[in-house]
Amino acid sequence: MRPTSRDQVMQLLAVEPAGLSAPELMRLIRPRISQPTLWRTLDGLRAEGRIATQGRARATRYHATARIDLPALRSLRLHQLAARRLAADPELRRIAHQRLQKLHHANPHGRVYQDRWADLLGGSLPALLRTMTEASEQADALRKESPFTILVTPEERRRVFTDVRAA
Amino acid sequence: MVRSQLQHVIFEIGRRFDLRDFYIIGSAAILAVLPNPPKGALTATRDVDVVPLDDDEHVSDRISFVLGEASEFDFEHGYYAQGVTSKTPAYAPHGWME
Repeated sequence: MRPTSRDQVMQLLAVEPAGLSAPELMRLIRPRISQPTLWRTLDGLRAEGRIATQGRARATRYHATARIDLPALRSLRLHQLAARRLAADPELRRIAHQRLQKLHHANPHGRVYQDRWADLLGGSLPALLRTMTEASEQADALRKESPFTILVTPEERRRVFTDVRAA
Repeated sequence: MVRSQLQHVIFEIGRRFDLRDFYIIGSAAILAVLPNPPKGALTATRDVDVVPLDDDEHVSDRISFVLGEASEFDFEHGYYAQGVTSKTPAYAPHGWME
């Protein structure tokens, strides 16, 4: 799964302390996007308070208001892939259950997270998929203790690391 | 996470990356100070946040790739290392890397 243009903008700005101009962003985003799409993306991120601007008109540079957490972003990508696989084959929940058991043995202190995942695994699939792929700090913390990355292939994982990395 | 698991992660980072010195930050760091800390939010974690001594982001990425989430190491042991940088902590004491 390729990162969206929103994610790419945030990732590029997160590792560029001097910020980037719109033409610089246009050159770096792959696959290429149109200028109107970039403006819409930047306007949306600005409205959410995720980016700040410096300068005016053509001299405007964009900055991330907070440095992005690359490991958390990778984890989200891995869980998006796992969620896609689960959506196609809900029976894979059985494998996640087994992995959860192993995590409990390895880290009994993580019970608070493991119990949450166990509840979700026993509930509705849409609620589970939503939580796996939710973009929030709380979901970031929960994903660190999740049993679902076992569903991601090594090749998919390698691609995630290629896409989400330090510049 | 327990102290023996932290020691295992430290050993593997040293062995696989030929690193003798690096920083451990985040909640797992408590295990270096308290061998048996009380069970709670700080011990619930199963990841160890690692900052290379020279703060090299590419080394951090390599650590995450080889020993990180969803790696063979994670699948085998149920805990993992996460390469991060000195910019990762939102709050840290002034001069904490000195």
